[in-house]
Amino acid sequence: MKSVSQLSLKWKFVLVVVLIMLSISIVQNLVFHLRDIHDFTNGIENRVLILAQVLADNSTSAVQFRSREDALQVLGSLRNEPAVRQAYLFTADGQVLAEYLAEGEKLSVPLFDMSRRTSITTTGENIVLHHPVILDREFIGVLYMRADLRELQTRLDARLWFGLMVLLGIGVAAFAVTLWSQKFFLQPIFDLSRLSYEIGKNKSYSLRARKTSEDEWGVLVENFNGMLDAIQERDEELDQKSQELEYSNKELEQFAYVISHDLKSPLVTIQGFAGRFIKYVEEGNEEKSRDSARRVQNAAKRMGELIDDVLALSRIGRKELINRKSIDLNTEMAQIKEDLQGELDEANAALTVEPNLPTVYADAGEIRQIFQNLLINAIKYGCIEPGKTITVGAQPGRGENRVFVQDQGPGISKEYHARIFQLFQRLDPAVPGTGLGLAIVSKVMKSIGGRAWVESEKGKGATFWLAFPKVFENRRNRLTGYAK
Amino acid sequence: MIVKLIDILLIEDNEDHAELIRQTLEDKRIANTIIHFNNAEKALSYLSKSTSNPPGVILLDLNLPGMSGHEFLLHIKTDDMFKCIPVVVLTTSSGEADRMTAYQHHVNSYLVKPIDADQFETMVADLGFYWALWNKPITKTQ
Repeated sequence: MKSVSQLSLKWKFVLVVVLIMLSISIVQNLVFHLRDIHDFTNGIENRVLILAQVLADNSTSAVQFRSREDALQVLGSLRNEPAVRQAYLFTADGQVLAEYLAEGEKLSVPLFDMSRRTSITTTGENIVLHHPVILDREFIGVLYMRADLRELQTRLDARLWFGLMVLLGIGVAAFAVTLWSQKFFLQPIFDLSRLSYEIGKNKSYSLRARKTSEDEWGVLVENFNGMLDAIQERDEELDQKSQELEYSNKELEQFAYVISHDLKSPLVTIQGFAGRFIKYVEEGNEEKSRDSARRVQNAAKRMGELIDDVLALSRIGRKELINRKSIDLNTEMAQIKEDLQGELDEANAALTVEPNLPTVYADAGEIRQIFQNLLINAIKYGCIEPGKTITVGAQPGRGENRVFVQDQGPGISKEYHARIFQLFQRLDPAVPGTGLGLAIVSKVMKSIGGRAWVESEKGKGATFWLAFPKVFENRRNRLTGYAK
Repeated sequence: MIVKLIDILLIEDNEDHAELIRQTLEDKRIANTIIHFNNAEKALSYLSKSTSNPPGVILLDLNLPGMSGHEFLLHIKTDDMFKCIPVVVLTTSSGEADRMTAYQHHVNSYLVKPIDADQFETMVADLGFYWALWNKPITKTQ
């Protein structure tokens, strides 16, 4: 058998209410019962006493004249009172004048002291009564009566059955009403319980409880939902953090891998050609000595550039190193164009900057660096033939400002579109570079919540896109619009 | 020492490393013909044109611009025409993941370029002797 604590709340509630209702009605019945016994006993005593007085009065002449016939007649009227079982009329000298026996009673003349006193004695079920018969203040006889409470027993039996029926009725009614009333009292907690089970099982923190009433349950539901809000928020935050962490772990892993590979590469060159240099010097081979020394020099220079770029990459997005503010790209591009004029002239290339560049929220140094990287790439890869033009312009996007750098070079096959933004990924070994330029662009854009990608087809030039997030209108509305 | 000439196909984007390998092999008088490409696509198109005289061994760098060394290896080893040509990876990467991928793609040998000049020389010389002298390759692709 289940112990009470294992019962569901629903059945505990039903059990408690039914038990309370039953106890109340049992106690009530008991009180009524005792009262009833008392009242009934008193009633019969009174009735018997009054009867005795009437009979004693009526039987004075019969006793006076010792007429048994008259006396029997007087006592015969007791048939109307079923409680009275036996009655005897004694003369003053103790002789039985007449008797009355209810049905089933046997004659048994009682022995007692004759006295003028009226007495009524109740012992158990028996009520014994003496009443003097008095005529003109003269004691002429005694009326003896014995009644019992048999009637009470019948009454009580009937009452017991009635009580039990009532009890049963109350029990059933309490059971039904409690079950029904749970809709108001317990349904919200059942809903909450089911909901919390589901949330625990599926981690679906976006679920919410429905508020159905304005009472304490309503408050509970509200608080529960409030807690869910907090959990969901934290959950999403955690998700995002763990994604960021995963990304940054992956990045670090890749970083360590390529660092070990790409820093080792010039070292192999330096060591190898330093050895060959010594050999060629000993052999007196001047031309080959010079070539080896030049290769050592170039490799060392490349290592220096690599270290600079790696440092630059690691600084991106570091809060203590950057100072984000609104930057008008039109002004910024003019400066960058001036800085790159030498490289442009050398490649015999032109740079067109459209006058519709947006204002973005970023670090000025980082912005300068990514546009320099993109433009140097465009010069190196897109302006191999002289007379080419590089275009910088802007287009509005949904929720973002897009800026492009377009060249008229040989283009990039689709399969390399994603890869070129990764660390140390280079397309042409003949073109000098560290393989970090686009990785820096990508990382800067990610750090300000934007993105970078390329659109290109082999033979049709390449367009590098930068999408800057639009700044919240209400906070920096003057900074978001395109310059007119 | 008279050695049957075999071709060594060297795929290496770092011009300095390629030159270092070439000079070392020349020093040891391993008179092979070194055919050098600085990317994998060019090497592939060369291979498909030289089916009657396949290289005796392919020396392959992993970090290449465009098609990577792993992609090249997978391509070679899943092509009935080329899968019998021995491929030796020669790279600066000693990473477990790179080695695992290379062996899963049935590389014939995996060598890490030593930084030390003497070790580099010894390794390249041993490599040349082994593949040019001791190892017997097929003479034509199917």
